Amino acid sequence: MVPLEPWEKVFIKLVGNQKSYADIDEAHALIGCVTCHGGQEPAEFEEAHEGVVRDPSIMAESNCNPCHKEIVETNVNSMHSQLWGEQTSIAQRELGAGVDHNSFDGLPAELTDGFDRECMSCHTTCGQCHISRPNSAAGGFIDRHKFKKTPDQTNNCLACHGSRIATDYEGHLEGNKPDVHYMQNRSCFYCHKEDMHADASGSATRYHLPDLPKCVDCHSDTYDANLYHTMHWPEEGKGLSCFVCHSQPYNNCNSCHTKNPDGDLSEWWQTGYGESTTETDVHTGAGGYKEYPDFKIGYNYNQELHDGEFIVVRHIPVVRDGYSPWGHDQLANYDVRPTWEYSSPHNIQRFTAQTTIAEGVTCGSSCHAIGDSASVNLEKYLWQSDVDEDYPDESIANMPVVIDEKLPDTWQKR
Amino acid sequence: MKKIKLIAIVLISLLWTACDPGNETVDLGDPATCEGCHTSETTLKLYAQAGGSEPTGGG
Repeated sequence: MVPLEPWEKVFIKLVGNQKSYADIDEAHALIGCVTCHGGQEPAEFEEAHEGVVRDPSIMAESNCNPCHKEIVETNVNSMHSQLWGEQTSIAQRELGAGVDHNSFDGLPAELTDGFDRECMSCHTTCGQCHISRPNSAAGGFIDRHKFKKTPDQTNNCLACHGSRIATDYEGHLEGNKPDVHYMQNRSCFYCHKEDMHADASGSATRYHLPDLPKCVDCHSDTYDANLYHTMHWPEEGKGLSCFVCHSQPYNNCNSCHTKNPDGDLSEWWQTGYGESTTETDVHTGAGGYKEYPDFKIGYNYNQELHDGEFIVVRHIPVVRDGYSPWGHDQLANYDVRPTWEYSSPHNIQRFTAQTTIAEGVTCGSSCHAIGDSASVNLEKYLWQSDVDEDYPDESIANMPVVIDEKLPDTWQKR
Repeated sequence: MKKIKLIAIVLISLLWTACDPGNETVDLGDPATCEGCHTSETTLKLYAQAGGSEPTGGG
């Protein structure tokens, strides 16, 4: 995404016969600038901008509600607005596995305050999806302050969901191809038909949302397309998640990206995304938020939520003392959730390293930890010994997801 | 016949130019209004150069 000059961010470009903003967006022009943004008009620069609200949709109740009442009323509790899943994960790691986002407000103040200050800083307002680039991408009009009913994929969706989704979907990792759906010009909304404005307060995480896309929505007729499918088709507690065979390596993250509340937020964003993936030390993750490509098959620790006995897992940016910059030294129940979590990489290919086999070898030779290629294939799985060695503080947390006892006895183990 | 063709070509060219949406910026030239400034590339650039601070808006 090309950065915008400061003046470009607020430039309403008139073209052709357009004489005013009303020729770009008639309905919203009727409301007038100061009605939403405050300030004064007519006035000199300083006086005009006194009290101006940069993003009036922060107060959607008063500024958007008069016309978009129904959406505003549900959106205040949407997944994008409230990050229920983040609330659930913090609540569980502090209070225990039996709680969810409903217990979040009962957490120590330093956690709830830090969450409001940092996590919520880009999650999100009406304007950051429908008018401008999000705060995390430093703002700027998408199309001359025209209200866009459908958010822009590059400048809105992927501006926030960049490190994982955009990197995967557009094929930015070295050696990866773009997602096959991206190559066919499928937009986010081709698959994601769920109502983004819906009240999601009943969903503990984004994976609990109703109407999430499923591969079988389009590919239900491929059950008997080949032996791999009939052998491994994912069902509750059985088979493999589609991603096990059809995803490429994906970004993983270490450590965390919280900051000292007294620091500068812009500095946090600049330093938060650390060195390039090739320079990442996955053993320490010291100094901040680190990204690195990896691919690991793990055991499906939540089979009611996700189909398949085996899934792909991604290391997420969390550490036991990750919120110490907020004044919370350690998460009291850090071990109740894996730090390798279920993942749905958006880098799908029909043929991947897992499905490609040499001539004359058995069909499982690129995946099964057995026979001549066993030692190579061991790398594709998450083993307890890997966790113990590289992430000793996460050994207990990841016991539900490591595959040591879950694979056939005849397979090699690490 | 040649004259008619010539006139037709000139007229079509004029019409084409007049109707071309193009990409030219139209400056309203009233810096006292929000829209006057924010539709003027020149004005916004001048403020950016002079003030050094990022313009407001664009959330």
